[in-house]
Amino acid sequence: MLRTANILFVGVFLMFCAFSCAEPVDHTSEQLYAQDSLFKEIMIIHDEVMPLTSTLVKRKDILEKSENTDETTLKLIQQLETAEEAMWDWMYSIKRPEQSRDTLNHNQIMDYLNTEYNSILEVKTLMLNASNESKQITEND
Amino acid sequence: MLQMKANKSQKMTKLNAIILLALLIALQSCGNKEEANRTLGIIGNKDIINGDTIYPSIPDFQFVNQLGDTITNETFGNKAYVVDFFFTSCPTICPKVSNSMLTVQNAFIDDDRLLLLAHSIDVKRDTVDRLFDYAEKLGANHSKWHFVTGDKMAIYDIADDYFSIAIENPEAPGGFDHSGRLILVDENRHVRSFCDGTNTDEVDRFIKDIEILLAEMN
Repeated sequence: MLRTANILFVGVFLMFCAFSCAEPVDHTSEQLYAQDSLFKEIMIIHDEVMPLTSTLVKRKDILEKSENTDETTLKLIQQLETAEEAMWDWMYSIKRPEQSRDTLNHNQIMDYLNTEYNSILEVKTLMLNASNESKQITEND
Repeated sequence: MLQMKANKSQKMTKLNAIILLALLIALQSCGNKEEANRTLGIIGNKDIINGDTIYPSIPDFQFVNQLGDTITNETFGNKAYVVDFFFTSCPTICPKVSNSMLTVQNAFIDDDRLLLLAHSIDVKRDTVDRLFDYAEKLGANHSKWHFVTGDKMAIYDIADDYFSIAIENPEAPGGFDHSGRLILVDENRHVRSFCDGTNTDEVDRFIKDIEILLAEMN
């Protein structure tokens, strides 16, 4: 029991040292520019599709109130919900480059941003598909 | 002879400068007079019913603020208020718009006749606690500036009410999610002014509009 406590204490101590001794990561001005430029590109895609969110919310509401319980309607409601939530989740988790500069090097930040670039493209596709597929049905109601 | 000509020319230049200065002062005072005489109309398409002019007004609402208190129209009874729509995780324009709301709050911090009402459109993630933290970080005065959450469709519906009055086409590209607009509502629930909360010049003009409305309420 005492031995386990000692091991745990040493582990916590080592982790504390690792964090407290971490050197701030330096970034050149070119690297900062590259990070900011990629972040801007990501945000351009976000700004382009974000206004669709309210459209998806309203169409989902129309379908839910229609009391149609056929498979197509239920599937569409789910599709609208998934697309909207994907955008909210993405916005909730995205980090600006400056939030990671103390702990991540340039390549790690660019890897993160490239992953987010692909993620927002996926969100865009989900939202556009949900919008296109719900357009006709909700306009007929 | 040349000396006389030079003196005359110098005198003319001075005279021209004085005339120009006088003109500028006159124009400025005209502008100030115009500003002082400016009034705010009621925004929105009016109806004439039985000879009465009816302006669109904001319907009843009920939300919960960052302190967990229920907020209704009664909260804003006999007061003017400024409205915006935001969400705490907004990565682009909301921080700018919230800063403009902060400017408005600070400009009227001691005037109890003006309140602020910020609606979160991400009701799932923006809990009361999260709204409280957001308000604290911004430097909001909790009794003046209400950050509210509530039923999702109630928030989207009331957004349509505010924006359909203030803007000709609420379905225009870049709907309210990203409009960044601040809307001024009077004590009778009528929309009186609005601005782009990301544009400092527009916010300055909007603050003047609030002053005009408050003067009218005296």
